[in-house]
Amino acid sequence: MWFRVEPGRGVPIYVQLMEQIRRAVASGVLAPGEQLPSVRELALKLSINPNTVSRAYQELEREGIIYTLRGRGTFVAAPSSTLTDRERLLRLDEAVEKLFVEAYQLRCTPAEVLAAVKRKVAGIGSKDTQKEEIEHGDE
Amino acid sequence: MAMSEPAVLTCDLTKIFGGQTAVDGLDLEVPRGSVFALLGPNGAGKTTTIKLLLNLLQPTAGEIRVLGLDAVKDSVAVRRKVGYQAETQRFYPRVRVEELFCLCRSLYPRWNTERVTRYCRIFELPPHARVGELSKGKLTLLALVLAVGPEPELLLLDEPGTGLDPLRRRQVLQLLVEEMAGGDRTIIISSHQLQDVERIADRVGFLFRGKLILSRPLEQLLGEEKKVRVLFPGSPPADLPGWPGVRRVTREGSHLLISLSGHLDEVLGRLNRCEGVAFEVLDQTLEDVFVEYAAGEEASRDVVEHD
Repeated sequence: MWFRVEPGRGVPIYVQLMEQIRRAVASGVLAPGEQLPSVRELALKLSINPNTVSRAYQELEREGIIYTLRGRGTFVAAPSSTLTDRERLLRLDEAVEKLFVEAYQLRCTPAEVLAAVKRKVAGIGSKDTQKEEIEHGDE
Repeated sequence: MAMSEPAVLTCDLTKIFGGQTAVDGLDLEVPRGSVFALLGPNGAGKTTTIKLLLNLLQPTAGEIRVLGLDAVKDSVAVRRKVGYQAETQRFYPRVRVEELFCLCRSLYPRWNTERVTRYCRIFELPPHARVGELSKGKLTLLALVLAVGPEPELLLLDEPGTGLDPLRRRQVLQLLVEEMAGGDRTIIISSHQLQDVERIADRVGFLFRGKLILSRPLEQLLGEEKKVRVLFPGSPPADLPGWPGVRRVTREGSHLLISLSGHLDEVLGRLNRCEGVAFEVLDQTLEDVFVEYAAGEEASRDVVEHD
């Protein structure tokens, strides 16, 4: 993983580091479970104060993007834990908004939209829940 | 008791050279384990301050405590715990690099030969070379290696990046990061390389004409010092210069430029309540902040002189 900090950008270096790690996780460059360099390693590599790296790691840990195992290192967390419930629902709302606009343009009826969503949602999760939902839908 | 004291604590420290006040009532506090960058224009008193800490100069007035010791009375004990890289190097020109190291090893019980050898290899300091044959940049690097060799509790570095190319400057930074990672070592560094300072400093202090005009954690400083460019549709609120955190308001064409020191949310809240106002927040670099404060001091001094 290649990080780059730019002093003289007016943004504190720990914030720059956080932005880059967040982006790397979201784009899949850093996979869940992958180990991040140690504080000392990254500080030496970037020639920055080790406290700055610690600060970035601590903030990211608080956001649930990474986690630390004592004596083992720092790792990328599973994607589900990277967002709070509120953030999750907010993003879902945005996606639904897009769907609504598209459906309106296509002159779809509410029933058509709901049926399409149901078919898609049935594909999420294990086969058992899928079956349950289909059965439930049939009733 | 001594351990809980800051690495450096000065109280009303003053140094006058032949009628010229080089250091003027300085109250400096450097926490243990921190990297403190002493910044200021040439002649601000940075080198004088560093020399006072080592008792290479004696104060005209005031008190200095270094690592829990009195810098004047206990100067010998202080020197044993402090590594110092001077701004300009004065070595006996015919002495060889390795002879210098040999001498230091005999003087300092904690001299770290392994580390010194490694840094010499990185900096390409030839052990057999005579000091008089080294370039100015190499001399600075040699002085740096000599300063870290004894594994001091406090490192005083006066312009360690001067005269070095970008590769060497980066290597010096890496050396400092390595020294920092060691634990509670305190580093005081004076430098004009503000981007390098941004990389490694925990705290910065601005010296201006012998006075400390600002001393703050670096992250806090960059987080608080902002500029806001505002366009008011009508005339701006009359009390704008008195808003919390506002240091200065200047005109920039049709816009106003507000220099802020903290209270950003409060100011943005107030701007949002003004009808039809448009604004943008501008981040500042350490260099911007430094120039801003130095210019402010210069201006206020001019006012005093003209009165």
